[in-house]
Amino acid sequence: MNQDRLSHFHGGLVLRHHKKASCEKPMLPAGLPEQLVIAIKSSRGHTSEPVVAIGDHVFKGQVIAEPEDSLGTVYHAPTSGLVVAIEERQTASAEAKQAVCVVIEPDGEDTWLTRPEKLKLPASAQEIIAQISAAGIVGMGGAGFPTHIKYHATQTDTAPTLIINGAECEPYISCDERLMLDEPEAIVRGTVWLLKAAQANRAIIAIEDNIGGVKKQLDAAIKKLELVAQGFDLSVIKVPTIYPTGGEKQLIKVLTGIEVPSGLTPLSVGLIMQNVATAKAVYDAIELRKPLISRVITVTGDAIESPRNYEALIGTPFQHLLQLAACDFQDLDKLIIGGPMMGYAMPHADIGIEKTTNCLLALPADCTKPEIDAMPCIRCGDCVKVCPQELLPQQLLWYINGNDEHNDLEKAREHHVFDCIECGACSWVCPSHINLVDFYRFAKSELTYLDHKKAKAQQAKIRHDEREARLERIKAERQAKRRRKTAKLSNKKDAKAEMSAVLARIKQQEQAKVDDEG
Amino acid sequence: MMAWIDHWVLALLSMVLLALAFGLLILWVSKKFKVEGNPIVEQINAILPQTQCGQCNYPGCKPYAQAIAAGEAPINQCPPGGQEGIKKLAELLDVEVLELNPENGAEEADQVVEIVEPDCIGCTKCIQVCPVDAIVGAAKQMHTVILDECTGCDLCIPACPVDCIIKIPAPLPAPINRKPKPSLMHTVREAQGFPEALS
Ligand code: SF4
Ligand code: SF4
Ligand code: SF4
Ligand code: SF4
Repeated sequence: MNQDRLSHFHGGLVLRHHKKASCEKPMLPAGLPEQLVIAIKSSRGHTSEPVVAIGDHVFKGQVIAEPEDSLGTVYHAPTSGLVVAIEERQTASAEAKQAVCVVIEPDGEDTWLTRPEKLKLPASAQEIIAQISAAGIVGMGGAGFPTHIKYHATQTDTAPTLIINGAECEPYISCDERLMLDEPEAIVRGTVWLLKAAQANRAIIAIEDNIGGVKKQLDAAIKKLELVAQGFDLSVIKVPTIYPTGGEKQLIKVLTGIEVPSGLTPLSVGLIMQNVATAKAVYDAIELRKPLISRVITVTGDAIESPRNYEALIGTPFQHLLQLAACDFQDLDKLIIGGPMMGYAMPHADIGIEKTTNCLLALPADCTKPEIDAMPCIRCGDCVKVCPQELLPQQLLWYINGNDEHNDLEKAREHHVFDCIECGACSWVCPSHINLVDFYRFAKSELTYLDHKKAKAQQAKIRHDEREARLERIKAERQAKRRRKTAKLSNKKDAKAEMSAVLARIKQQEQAKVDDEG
Repeated sequence: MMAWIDHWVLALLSMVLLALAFGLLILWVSKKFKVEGNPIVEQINAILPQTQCGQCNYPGCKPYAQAIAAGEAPINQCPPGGQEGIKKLAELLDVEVLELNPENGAEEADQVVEIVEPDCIGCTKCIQVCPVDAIVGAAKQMHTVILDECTGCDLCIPACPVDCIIKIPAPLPAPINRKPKPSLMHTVREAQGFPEALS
């Protein structure tokens, strides 16, 4: 793949980056906070079951929760300490939804769970996948999809191409860029492990063209590891900085010109995409035997005096990070996790970061968009021009909120509302200040709910029909029995025989009674 | 002259043959793709929520569907289906959308029932009325509701002689996170806060 053969995706926005302030300085460890609040559920709502109890002492790296279903993940204690609570708390996800959290009070020793002395590197793809799964690694770009699942499916197909996504397109967020600057070799090594897991040999590391230094670093690491001699083909490709070029389907379009069909995964076109931080986590898990217990997070925004990237333990409360970065709490108006386009506002700072939390954005009042009341859609079509998924945002809005007679969520589904990646480009340009994304989020959640209800109704119908059939059958059987009996008795001879049989039985019983008494 | 008749006969013959061929084709197609049952009843029944609660004054969803299909019942008698359901029925049958008839009940949030197990005397009365076999238990044994199968029809509540069956909100699987609908003005007047009186 070559630099001048890149494609373009439809629409998109050119935004100011706001990344320089946080990315200038090397990342720092965030240290031990007073408490770690670890939400044991994925961003898609798949929960895990805690395997420790309140009052237990845990070691660093010890498993504290096991997945409940195939889409859940393992959670490890990020440091040694005491489990002080296992309870529902608000989490770093949309609307700060409540979920079960394990709260650990660090003992300050940071003692690892004893591990076997000799490091044994995995030999087969299966072993690598098993180690990735055991380390609790999920997609760290935001989706939080368990990483190992992407590789189970590759075992039979032809070798896919791996795309390592370093295109961090949202303003303010710079954790991936900083990671690529500080740990290029770890990322490349992790990429090689992922290639081995996928039994493939070609990987592309995609970065945005405004971060020049990174390419040099990565190229140097690839050269140093002599990967070409081992049959691996790794290249670093710069893509134009247009929001949201880091979106899965957008980046694939830019790099390969392929459009991933609606409702399918990149694997259907022979691609696997992984975030750079995920590649680093894979390296940590396999070569350092360190499960996913920390991540790089950008702490930035105009209310932060010294914006910076921190390597923070999973579960570190926002408060701890804000203090480290010298947040002006007086000035703080809005606390957002993620970027300004796709992020979620948080109600307070006592929530712990998750494996997918890449940025903490603290904005003062004069920076946030004033809440202007939405005006009606004027059908200007601006939203259509910028939608990177080539949807018709205004038409979707009409189906979801046209007016009461025309609301039809099913129509919104037909117009692919589920393909909306919630990038916020449409809301950004809308001259009527309509928060369009809110409507699509609503439509998606409501349609999922309606599907659930429909499935339940179907189930109820089947059970009801079965019950009716059973009752019918029992009734028919009873009737048949009665009919047989009446038929028998209508024959004189049979009736007589029946009669004498009954009489004989009664006699016998009386005889037995007399015998008993006697 | 003869040739003319020849043509005439030929044309007629070919027409008759064609008609026969198409007739047979239609016969075959109608046999092959025969639809079982009354399709309109099935379509109506597919829209009804299958709660089987009887609030529509029919002993279940299918009888109500049959009544609607026969033109004996209006489409606004199913509270669990709510206004959305009425809208869908109206669309299917191409009739006017009606308001839900309040005599049949009001649309409520999804709920299921639970047996307060220490109080259950094991009379099996609830099992007998449950339309979807969602209750398990045996005579003189404690009974339990399979929450996943319960439709929340409430038929078991009056059947219980010791009132040990209570309503609870229906559990939703974790990935489903229902959100409220955002509000948006429809007209510029609404948006600008014009008092309705001025319009
Ligand atoms: S940008 Fe806003 S006003 Fe323009 S068509 Fe889209 S939704 Fe309507
Ligand atoms: S939020 Fe959805 S509809 Fe709006 S521009 Fe992005 S993908 Fe398109
Ligand atoms: S009221 Fe109850 S029984 Fe009647 S159609 Fe609706 S759900 Fe079915
Ligand atoms: S358990 Fe009760 S409420 Fe639930 S379906 Fe059965 S009869 Fe109806």
